[in-house]
Amino acid sequence: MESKVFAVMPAFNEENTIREIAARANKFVDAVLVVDDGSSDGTFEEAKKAKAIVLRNIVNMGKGFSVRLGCKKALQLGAKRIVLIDSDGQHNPEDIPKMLGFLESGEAEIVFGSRPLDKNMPFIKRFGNNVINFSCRMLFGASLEDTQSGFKAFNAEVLQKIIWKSNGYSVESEIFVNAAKKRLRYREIKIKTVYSDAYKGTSIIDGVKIVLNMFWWKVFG
Amino acid sequence: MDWFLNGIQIIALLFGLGMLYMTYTSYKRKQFNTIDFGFWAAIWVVFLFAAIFPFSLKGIVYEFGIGNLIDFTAIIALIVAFGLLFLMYRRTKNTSKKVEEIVEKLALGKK
Repeated sequence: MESKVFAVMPAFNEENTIREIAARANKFVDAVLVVDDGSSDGTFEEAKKAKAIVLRNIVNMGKGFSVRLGCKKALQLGAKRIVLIDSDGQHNPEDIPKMLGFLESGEAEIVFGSRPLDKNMPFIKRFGNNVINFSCRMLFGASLEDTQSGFKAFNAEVLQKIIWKSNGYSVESEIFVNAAKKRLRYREIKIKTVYSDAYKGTSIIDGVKIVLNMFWWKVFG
Repeated sequence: MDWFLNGIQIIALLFGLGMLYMTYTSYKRKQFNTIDFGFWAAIWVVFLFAAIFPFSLKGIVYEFGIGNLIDFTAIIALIVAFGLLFLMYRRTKNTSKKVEEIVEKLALGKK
């Protein structure tokens, strides 16, 4: 298979959205790779209908694990560029070309999609994101408006530099922290965001874990 | 020798007997092998002995510079608890790593 740009989509119980998002993403990439993270609904079947390559974790392992697995598989299949995009419909696949543009022109090695931290974002997420963004700035001196967005794109060759150990939601921060530490050229672009369920994704406890993890990375590298 | 047990001795006795019983049932259910059973049964027997005859250990307790048996028991229990915590942490980390390897191999279809 001669695919160059892969969209990697971790998915956990997203049967309502995965098919549509995968199909839309497929227009802008060479292949979509969905990692079904132990879903108990029809996520796997729906992803297959969208003609995606689908990997399946037999038990739920976490977003970080699933994304890492998807990236490894994408590399095996010859990916030159990788786009990470969430399966819950929060991200707009139509933003993919904008991200790839920065990679193709050489302006950036990694591109971060930044969600507007405005009234459309549920308050608790907005608050948590602000705390995490602030912590990142203080601890690593690296500035990003939204460190928690799962929408990113990077050249496959930088994967080894940004590879993360987190299996859970800390993956987003860890990718950015690793990119900052390795001084990768990065860009941040505004992306459209849709919130369908305020109570999915990171919880308050996840947010606390992310901040604690940041201290750990700062001290132990 | 005072044959009447005080409140704390009764609690300790009931606790020790309960633990000894659970050790025995774990062995019968093959959750513990003979060595596990022997080790833990010995611990609980010593515990029960100390609960019934606390003054028998007076000499040992004073040798450690500790005032009474309860303090001695608490300190020993804390040391053992920390040791077990460390061993459990190590085992959990090991198991976690193995689960990751298995899930990854299954997902990627590797044999």
